[in-house]
Amino acid sequence: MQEQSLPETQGAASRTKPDRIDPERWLAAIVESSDDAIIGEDLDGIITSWNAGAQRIFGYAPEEVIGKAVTCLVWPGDENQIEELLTRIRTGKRVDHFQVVRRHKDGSKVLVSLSLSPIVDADGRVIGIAKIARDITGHVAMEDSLTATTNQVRLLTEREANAQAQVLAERRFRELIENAPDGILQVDRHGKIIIANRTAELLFGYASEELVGASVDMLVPAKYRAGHAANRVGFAHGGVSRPMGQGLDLYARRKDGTEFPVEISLSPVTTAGEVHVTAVVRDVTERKRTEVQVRTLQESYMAELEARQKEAERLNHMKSEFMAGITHELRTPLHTIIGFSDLLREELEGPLNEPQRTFVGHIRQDSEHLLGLINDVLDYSRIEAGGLHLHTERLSLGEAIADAAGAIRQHAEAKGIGLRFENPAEVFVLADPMRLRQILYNLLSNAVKFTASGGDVDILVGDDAEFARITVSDTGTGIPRDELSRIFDKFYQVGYSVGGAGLGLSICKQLVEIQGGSIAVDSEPGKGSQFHFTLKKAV
Amino acid sequence: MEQKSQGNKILIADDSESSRDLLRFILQRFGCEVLEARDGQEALKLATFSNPDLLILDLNMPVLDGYSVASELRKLPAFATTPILALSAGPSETDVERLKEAGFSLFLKKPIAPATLRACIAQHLDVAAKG
Repeated sequence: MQEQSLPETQGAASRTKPDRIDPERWLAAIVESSDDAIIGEDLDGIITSWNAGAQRIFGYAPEEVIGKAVTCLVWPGDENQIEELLTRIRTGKRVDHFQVVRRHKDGSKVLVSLSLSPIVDADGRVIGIAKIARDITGHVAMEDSLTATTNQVRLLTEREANAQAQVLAERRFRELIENAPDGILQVDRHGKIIIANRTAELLFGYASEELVGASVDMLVPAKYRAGHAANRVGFAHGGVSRPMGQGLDLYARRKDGTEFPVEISLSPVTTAGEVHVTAVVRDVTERKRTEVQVRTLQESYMAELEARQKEAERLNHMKSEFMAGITHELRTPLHTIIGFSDLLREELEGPLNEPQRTFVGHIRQDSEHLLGLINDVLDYSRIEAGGLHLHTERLSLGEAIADAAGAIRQHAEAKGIGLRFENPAEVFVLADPMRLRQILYNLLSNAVKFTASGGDVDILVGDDAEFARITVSDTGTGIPRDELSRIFDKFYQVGYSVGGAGLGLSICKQLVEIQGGSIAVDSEPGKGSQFHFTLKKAV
Repeated sequence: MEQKSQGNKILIADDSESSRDLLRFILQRFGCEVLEARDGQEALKLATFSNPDLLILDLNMPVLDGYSVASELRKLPAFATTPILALSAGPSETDVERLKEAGFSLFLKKPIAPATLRACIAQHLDVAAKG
């Protein structure tokens, strides 16, 4: 038997073993019990031996294949392989673990791993082939299943990754909510808290597990609870989002019972068909405190401002009172000085001689001047303090001018100055009679004062739709150009002072302006001045 | 005018002696009998005691001011129509309402020319006589 040639090749090694069992039988048993196909072939590829493993792998019984060409095992089309392998073995070379598809007796594919070794005789000549074929179809199947598993694992991994990403996203979202600067609560339609973030825990002083599942009412001060429940029911039935800062004065209650001011925004959230309400709660204690501080500051500032204003008014009033008192005190003795000089001039107590008459005249005139100064100062201080009250009436301008001119006429004539007043048409103005007289008298007395003997003082009247325009013109010394702009300043005296406190024109300007008019001056030194002022016409 | 004021009793009240002297001279020349008071209290007493035809009251006086004297006198039936003139060196415009309220007939501002004073007195005595 060819089978026995195999043990022969190993015979030397086997015989060295101190064994009572016949080495050939021993080898034959090993070959028979092998799972692998162990096939003997001659150099032409004719099968010479066939073990049980071969039968199992390829389906043929030994008697079916021994003596037949090995090509019966070849997958159609792979016949050339056999020749190549045979050629290789004939030259004494081995083939190890050559994977190749072979054909099962039933026509199915069998994937085997082939190892071919040349069988040599005692002289070293190749006389046959020992072929071991290991069925690796199962391996491949396993590999396939491994690939499938790998794919599955990859799929699972992807799913896992997705899931992880989702978890991560959820965690981030959760963190976002947890760390939001405002307390966030989600409440179901029964008022049960479903979600509460960390800020809400800190805000209300409850642990998360105390909040979740509890009624939101415990966070509402007792006095607001009834209203709160009603509002919640209302909100659940078609509530719309309510942003913060609705001007509502809301309060929340901490675990320890203390209350704090809050702003709450509400938004309905539909989860699995159920309407929940998400409430964002902001503690506005600090803001309220700041608001109160700002308000307090503002109030104290306003109070101080008011106090200062009152103080300023009081001081102004005091100044006015003081000025009134001063002028009263100054006018009282002037009253008797003027009165007695008048009595002397009347000579009812006996005649005066010429020098006495002159002396009394000087006393009288200077007293009059002093009185004018006192009145100017009083008027100015009152205008400045805003304490001048006007009694505006509808006046005949012609009459007012005639009146003022009458008061100055004697003085003008005594100085040899012509005083002329043309009154072409009757014009009515809206003015305070006393103040208008004061303006006219002031301008006329200035004109007379600064005009030399032989000169003229003229009063002219014109009007337009709205205003009457009065001009007092003189042929006096005039006012230098550079001084014209300052002529209405208080305490300003043009050049050589003839008398007066320098307040006359300043008072005139103020009196004209508070009656709604304006005043201006034209002047040419050496030729004279023209003072123009306007007054509102009466209808 | 001289005839109308002749023999009329006029009470003057002023804390300034020179002012009283001036008024007295003017009024006496005018043929009037002059009674003098140095303050409001004195004026009130003297007035109720002597029943003058006209009064000239300074507004700023010690003890009792001119306003008080006038309003006290106006409460008395005897002084219902008696001319009471105010005489003051103080500013007048803003006090018009207060003067009317106190019951003054006229306000005279110091200094006053003797002629003006005479004319005013004559006019008021005339009105009082007719009334």
